Amino acid sequence: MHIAEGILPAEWAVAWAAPAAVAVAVGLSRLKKRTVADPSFKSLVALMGAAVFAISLMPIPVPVAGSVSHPAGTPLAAIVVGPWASVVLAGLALLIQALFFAHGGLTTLGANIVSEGIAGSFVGFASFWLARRCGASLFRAGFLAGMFGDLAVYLATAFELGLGLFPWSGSLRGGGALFLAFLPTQLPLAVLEGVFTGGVLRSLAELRPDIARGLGLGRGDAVPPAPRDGRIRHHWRRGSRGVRVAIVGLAVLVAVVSLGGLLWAIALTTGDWVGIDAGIMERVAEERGRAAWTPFINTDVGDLLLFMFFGGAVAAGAAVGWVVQGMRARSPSGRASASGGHAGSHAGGGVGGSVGSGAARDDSTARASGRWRRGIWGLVGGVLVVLVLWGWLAPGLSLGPLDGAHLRTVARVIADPSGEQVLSARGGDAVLFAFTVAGLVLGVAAGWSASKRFAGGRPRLRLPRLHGSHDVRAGDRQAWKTTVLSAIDARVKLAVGAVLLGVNLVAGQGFSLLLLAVCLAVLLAVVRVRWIALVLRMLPALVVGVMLVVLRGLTIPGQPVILIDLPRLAPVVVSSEGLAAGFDLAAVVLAGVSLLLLLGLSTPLPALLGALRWYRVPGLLIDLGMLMYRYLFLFVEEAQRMRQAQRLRGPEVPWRRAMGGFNSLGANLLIRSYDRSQRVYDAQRLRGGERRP
Amino acid sequence: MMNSPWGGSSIDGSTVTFAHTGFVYPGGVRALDGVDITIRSGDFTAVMGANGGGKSTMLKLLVGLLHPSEGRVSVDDVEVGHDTFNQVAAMVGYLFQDPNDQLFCPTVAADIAYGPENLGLGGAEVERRVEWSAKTCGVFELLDRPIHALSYGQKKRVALAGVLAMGPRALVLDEPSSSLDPMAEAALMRLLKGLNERGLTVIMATHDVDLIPLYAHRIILLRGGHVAAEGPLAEVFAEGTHLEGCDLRLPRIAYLFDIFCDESTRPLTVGQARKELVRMVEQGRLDLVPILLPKERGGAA
Ligand SMILES: Nc1ncnc2c1ncn2[C@@H]1O[C@H](COP(=O)(O)OP(=O)(O)OP(=O)(O)O)[C@@H](O)[C@H]1O
Ligand SMILES: [Mg+2]
Repeated sequence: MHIAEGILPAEWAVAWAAPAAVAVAVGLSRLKKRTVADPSFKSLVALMGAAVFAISLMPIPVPVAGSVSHPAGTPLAAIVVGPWASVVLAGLALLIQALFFAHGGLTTLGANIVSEGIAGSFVGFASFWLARRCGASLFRAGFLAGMFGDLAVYLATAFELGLGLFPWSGSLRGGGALFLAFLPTQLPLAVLEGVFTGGVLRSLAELRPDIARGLGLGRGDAVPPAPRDGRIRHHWRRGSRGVRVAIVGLAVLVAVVSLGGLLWAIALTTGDWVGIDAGIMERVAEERGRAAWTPFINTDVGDLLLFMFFGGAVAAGAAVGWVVQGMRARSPSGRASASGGHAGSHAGGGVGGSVGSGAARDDSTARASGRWRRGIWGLVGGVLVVLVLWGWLAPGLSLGPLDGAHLRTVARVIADPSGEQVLSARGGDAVLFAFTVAGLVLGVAAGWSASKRFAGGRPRLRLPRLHGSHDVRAGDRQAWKTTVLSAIDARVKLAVGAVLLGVNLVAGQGFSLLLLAVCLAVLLAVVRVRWIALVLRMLPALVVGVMLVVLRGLTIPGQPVILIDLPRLAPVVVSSEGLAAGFDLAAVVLAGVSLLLLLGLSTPLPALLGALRWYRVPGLLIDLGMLMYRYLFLFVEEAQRMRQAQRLRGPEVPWRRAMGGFNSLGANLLIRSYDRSQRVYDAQRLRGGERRP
Repeated sequence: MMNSPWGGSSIDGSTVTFAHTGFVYPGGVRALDGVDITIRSGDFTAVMGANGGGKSTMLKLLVGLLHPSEGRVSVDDVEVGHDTFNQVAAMVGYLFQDPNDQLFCPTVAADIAYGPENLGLGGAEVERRVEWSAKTCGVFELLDRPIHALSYGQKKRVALAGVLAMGPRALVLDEPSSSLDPMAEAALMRLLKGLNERGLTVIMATHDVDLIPLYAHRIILLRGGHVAAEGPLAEVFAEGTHLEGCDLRLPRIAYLFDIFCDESTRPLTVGQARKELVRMVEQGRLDLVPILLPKERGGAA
């Protein structure tokens, strides 16, 4: 999850660039030191970085909804080459991504390095270290590292956005709200990242124990000396019981204290924050002569409750979708004859259904256990649905005072549907309702498709192609094409681009729109990007733009321009000031992204890196970038070949196998890059590479 | 040729000496044992032997990527070791079996220039060398391309260009012709032959017995880390027993001769075979009719 170009205001862009630069500098100096002790370390870091980058382009299958996602890879990189080197690599990867896909940005590079690089690497690494100290297996430690690292990235991103997008006083709360907004999609992704990180590490240790040891991943006390001198030396030894207890205790304490601090900070700022809930809706309601404060459900904790409901609705919906789909699939018309007679009662009976008698023993036990599972799911789903509905209708669940007013309101609404009384004049309830319904719909869809895929208790899914990698290569081909722009020196392009990006942040909307128009025109007419490719590349920025417009429109108070009067609920108000601010920001983002695309699609990356070297960016960083660039494509191709081989041997496999295949793919890439790094180093020094400054 | 890294027309090739050299891998595998060989300046030497025979190990010892467990290796009186690594690397060019290991720069031009730049040459000289090597290896048109956009064979040629640009006095190649198309293979071998004729010492590991007699002067046969045979081509190939022990076979043309003529002479290339045939027919030692028309002969009998 990268913050797009242009979203952060100039002062925040600078503010985040500072710690990022410091962290990268520290990382580089540590790398340099280690390179002195072990000269092949540089190529190891670069090649492992390229491998992790290539891996992060691969889509992981997400079992529900049959879609795919991309792992972030930073926690894995941190475990493999250490957190500091991983910060450096993340910086390079973010730079390359910004230039190849206009994914992230140059002015937001600092912020992204802080969230992805620093937060992701250190939290991932620390989780792994702690877990290993406590004696966790490689898979479990990797799982925790991947999951917490991923969540840390999102937490940091949310707060960077909160600080950048909301006024100072409301920034913490805004960030918290954004984090909660990411959470429903991000939590499953974090779990996947964990499975992936742990799986890759486990496969690596199984396939090549020597490399695992060389990287300091060896298990427990039985760590023989690393085969290559001077390699990373963090050996994970089991601590004694006392140490383990102390560490776990400390971790829990830190977690509690930081969580408490976070909540406290949010609570402190709550009073000042004018969000969807309080400000606009209330005023509008009063203007229209309606009662503003008759909360049907007291959403004083607003967004938190919102997402509890959303989450509950998703879970409930998923269970319902699962069960209903299962019932349909098992109904007599949908199934073969053997169990046909029983099917109806099985499905209807749920938990208590009797075991079918006609079928073979194994088959029937399998089906019985399937029914058990289904039944439990149905029960859970039912309970959840009831809970959600009850939460909606019963004031008892509301966190406000439990007084008769709520009940009277309910009674009045039920008795007099056309009455003046709105359920709540606060936007909270309207939004809450919308979210609950959306959650239910989403959940049903997910449950339905999951039930289809998990038929027989195991999910089957088609192995996804590696489409992310296609983008890098297409962008690279485009960049190498000769156009009028290729004649311009990369140093000039880079300088002009950086200045324009900066001006774009501070100048008004007019400048941004002009910049956007010029960039698009040049991209289409001079660089000759096909417009469909351009639209595809701009799509993420467009989505961000629309979201910004909506978010600002709803959160900045002012003259209402759109006023949707939901029957029996509060009106939804979009203010003109908010819209204007939203459009302003969207213009900045779109202009920045199109300028980045122009820069990246008209200049090969090595030329840009060369220009950076000329501008006195540390040579080690540039060397690493060049090596990463060189091997990225090789690894992408290797990954593609391996994946094709997997697909050829079974295009549809159970999810566990798919994930296993994915993990071994990742581990294989790491192994190849590890082996290759030594040969690359040999090749370098055979041609006098050690004499380089 | 004036622009070549060596300047004038002749190259002062290096002499390589293995003295009682042995090597044991960290795992305990003895890959080389008691190798005593001198490869003289200007020799074209093929190193052959079964898979795992120790060829790659021997070549790596030569350039200092590995260090001998026993004995020593020297190039022109410089003993190969930690301290002399750069000195040896400047004299000996090493071509990796996989060009993807060797080409680590983003573009072809940058990669070919990498070595000369490290030799401390001036910009003009580096450019001149890059141009010469790229032209010599037939990759001049590819100079501005990124390396990942090349085919495998093209990468191999670029890798060779990068080695040649350093102006080595000995060339060490690990299976240079594998996965090249026939034309590229022939071109590569002609190039090596041409450089060798100017004095460059060429040492290559290969499995291609049909190709070797066309170009190499000498051959080293390795078996289980020992030198099974060493010497001029004809001598080594005259004794078929060596070859079988090393899981090698005769060149096909020699094999054909062995089947049809029980002569002691054993031509190794098509050219030699043709000469030999003409000689035998002229001397009346060979009647081609029964060989070429076996059916009619059978019918007459
Ligand atoms: N890195 C290594 N660690 C341990 N043993 C090795 C290593 N590399 C090679 N060996 C062993 O050393 C012996 C010689 O290997 P070498 O690579 O020199 O053979 P080769 O003649 O080049 O074979 P090929 O024709 O397959 O390339 C083999 O038995 C091999 O298994
Ligand atoms: Mg070999």
